[in-house]
Amino acid sequence: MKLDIRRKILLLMGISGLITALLLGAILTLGLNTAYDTLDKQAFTMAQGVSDEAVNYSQKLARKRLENIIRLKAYHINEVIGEMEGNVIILSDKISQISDTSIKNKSIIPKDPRTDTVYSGEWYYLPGADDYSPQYATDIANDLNATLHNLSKGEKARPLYFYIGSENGWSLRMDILPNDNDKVNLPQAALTRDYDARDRSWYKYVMQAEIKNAPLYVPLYSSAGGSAMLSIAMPYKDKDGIAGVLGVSIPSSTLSAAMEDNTRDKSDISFLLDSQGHVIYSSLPVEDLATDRSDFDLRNSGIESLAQAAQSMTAGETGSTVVDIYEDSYFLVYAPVGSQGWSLGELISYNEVQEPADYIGYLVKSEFKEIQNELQLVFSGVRTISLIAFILLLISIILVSRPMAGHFSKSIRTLSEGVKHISEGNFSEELSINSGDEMELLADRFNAMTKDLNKYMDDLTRVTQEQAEVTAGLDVATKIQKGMLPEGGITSSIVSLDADMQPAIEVGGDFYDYYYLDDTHLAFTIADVSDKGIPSAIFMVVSRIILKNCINLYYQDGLANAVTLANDQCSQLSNDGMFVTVWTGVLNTATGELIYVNAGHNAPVLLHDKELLYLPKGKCPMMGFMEGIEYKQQSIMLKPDSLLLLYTDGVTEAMNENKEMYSKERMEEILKGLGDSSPKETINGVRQDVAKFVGKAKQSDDITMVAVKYNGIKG
Amino acid sequence: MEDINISVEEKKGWSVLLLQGRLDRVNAEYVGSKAEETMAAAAKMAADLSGLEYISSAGIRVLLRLAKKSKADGKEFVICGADGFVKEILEDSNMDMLVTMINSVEQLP
Repeated sequence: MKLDIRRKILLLMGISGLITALLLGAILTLGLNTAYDTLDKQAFTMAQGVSDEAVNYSQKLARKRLENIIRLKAYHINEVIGEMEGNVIILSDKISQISDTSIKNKSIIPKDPRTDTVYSGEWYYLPGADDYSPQYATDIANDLNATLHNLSKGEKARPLYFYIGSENGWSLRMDILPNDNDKVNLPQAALTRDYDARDRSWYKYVMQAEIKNAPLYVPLYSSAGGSAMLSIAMPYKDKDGIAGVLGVSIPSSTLSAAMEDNTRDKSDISFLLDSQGHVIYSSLPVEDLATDRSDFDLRNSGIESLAQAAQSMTAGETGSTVVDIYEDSYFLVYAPVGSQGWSLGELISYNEVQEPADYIGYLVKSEFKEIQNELQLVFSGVRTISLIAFILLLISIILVSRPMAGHFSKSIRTLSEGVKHISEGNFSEELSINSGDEMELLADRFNAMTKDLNKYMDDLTRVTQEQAEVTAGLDVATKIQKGMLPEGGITSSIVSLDADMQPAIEVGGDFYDYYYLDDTHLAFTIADVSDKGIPSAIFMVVSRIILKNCINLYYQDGLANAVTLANDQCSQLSNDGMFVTVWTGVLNTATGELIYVNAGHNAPVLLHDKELLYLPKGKCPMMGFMEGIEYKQQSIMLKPDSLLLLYTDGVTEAMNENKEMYSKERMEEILKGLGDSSPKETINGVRQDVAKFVGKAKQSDDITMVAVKYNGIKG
Repeated sequence: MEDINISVEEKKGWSVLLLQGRLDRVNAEYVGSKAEETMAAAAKMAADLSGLEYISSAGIRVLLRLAKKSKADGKEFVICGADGFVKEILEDSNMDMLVTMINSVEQLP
């Protein structure tokens, strides 16, 4: 048959079209397969990589958290010891100032435990081997009495033993027991004539030490009664120079309460080392961690990993390491306590830290498995569609022309390029195909998948973070922070007080405090440390102790003076512009006079007879920022039945989901509505109102309030 | 950065750092480093807070740190234009005792 030119050309076009289509199809299939293989391989490597990364990340996070928490715990113990230190300095100072004329009150006569029954909070006297006369000791007892009782009220630890041991051998002591009517139970050895202050281990230790003007941590010793004692002591002077040793001690088991209250798991083992590597306290006192081996230095432990860790611990380092002890692997985290080389260690089962990390790795892998399955589905979709596309292409090549093919292959190329990018980890890649056909549908499907992938990654980060935080017990840090604040409030006929702090998720921030300075002077404080996190939490603890010690020590010279000195000390310790806004006041419960210093804090509200007033502010900046600021005090007479509410900006600046603030106005309104309520009711009322306002929004700042009601002296 | 806009302009020999939006915990570090950069290059710096609607204690810390740094480096630093809530907060903490504060950037000497 003869073909005309047109037919020939048509045939030629048909054949070349067919060949082109076949070639195109082959390239397409090949490209698609390659893309799939690459993607499959990459997804696998990626899964492995990301899961390893997640495991490492969560372990690192957990370790970091644990180290931060151990630092915070160490500070907690340091706080207990720090208060003891502060008390010892105050008392030693006071004794040194005693002169013949300074004793006005001579009503107290120390008891003789050999003949009298002695109760908690009473002075008693042991004459020593020289049978020394109690005259000078009686002067001391009279002079120190009020101060000592105030100081002991401010300490949570019970029992507390105050002792003074003279160079003449006598001892003057006071035991503060859990209940006021508890009897002092002295061991027989203390009641004999041989019992002499100069033989006590604390006496010898302090007298032999080079440092004479600061408290020393006495190495662990057994008291005459046999229990292990922690003691802080320093010399005191009379007009002729050093005259003896004064100190305070607690059974080391008291410290364990401070430590174990916050231990997140009973299987954890915590222990305390002194600067000589002696185990002062241990929650599992066996083998190397036994506490009754005062000649054993943990740095010489037969367990090498433990000995090495002890080395770092006594060197004052913070860190974590893996040790093998008690036939198991443990994470040992440690941090220094105080200034004299003590260190707190905590052994946490290795598995406990590792398991969640592994679990996260597992989670990641299963996420990826799902993604891989999803990809496979999409790809088989792509294959089917490309087959159809191919047939369509063939037809279209024959029927229409090649531009269409170009258009088609472009969509598929875009798709396959996009897939490649995504498989390389670029999850933000969006495929833009607007062909209005199945390719566009497929691209949409792909875009949806990358979005899912992005969400997975976000979820993963969040899960990892949350898991790690749970592992490391972030809540523990907040608990510790809360545990440092006094609890229970004050209820008496003249004055009642209640306080509350709702910490935001992160530690740091606010604190409050309240304590009696003597029978009629009640001090209370509210404060807000700039910023949050562990450094702020530590600054919070430190500034609280400093302020309390300064007020205890220097209140007699005026509250403003005490705050000025506290600011100087805080400023030396704060770094990087950290500061704390403080409102602190002392209420004379006999007269209703309130003296206060406002260091850059928001003014408290005074409610009386439905009238509402903000306490006038003086011009004083926040504490801890700069030394040498002279603080000024103000005063106001409280009428009976007034209620004073101290608060932090966490209350008025609590935000709802629309970022609107709770505001002073709302607080004023609820306060007026609450009327004549008790401190507890007032705080609860405001708290509930804030919670209602905030709704589901995340709490971003600590919410802290102290309410004081002055009832006045009635009748 | 989220919630905050920072720009710097020169006025009467002062480098004026204009902050607009919210200065809070989330962006305090970022603002701090930007501001310190500006301060490093300037002899006199002013922070214009007229466009600021919220400041948290972390934000105050940024300003205090700048004040401390300017003092250490022998430079001048003023805060201007604080208004409304921000002014209230700064007054609450008696910032004016630590840093010079003026009403508006127009009052710069």
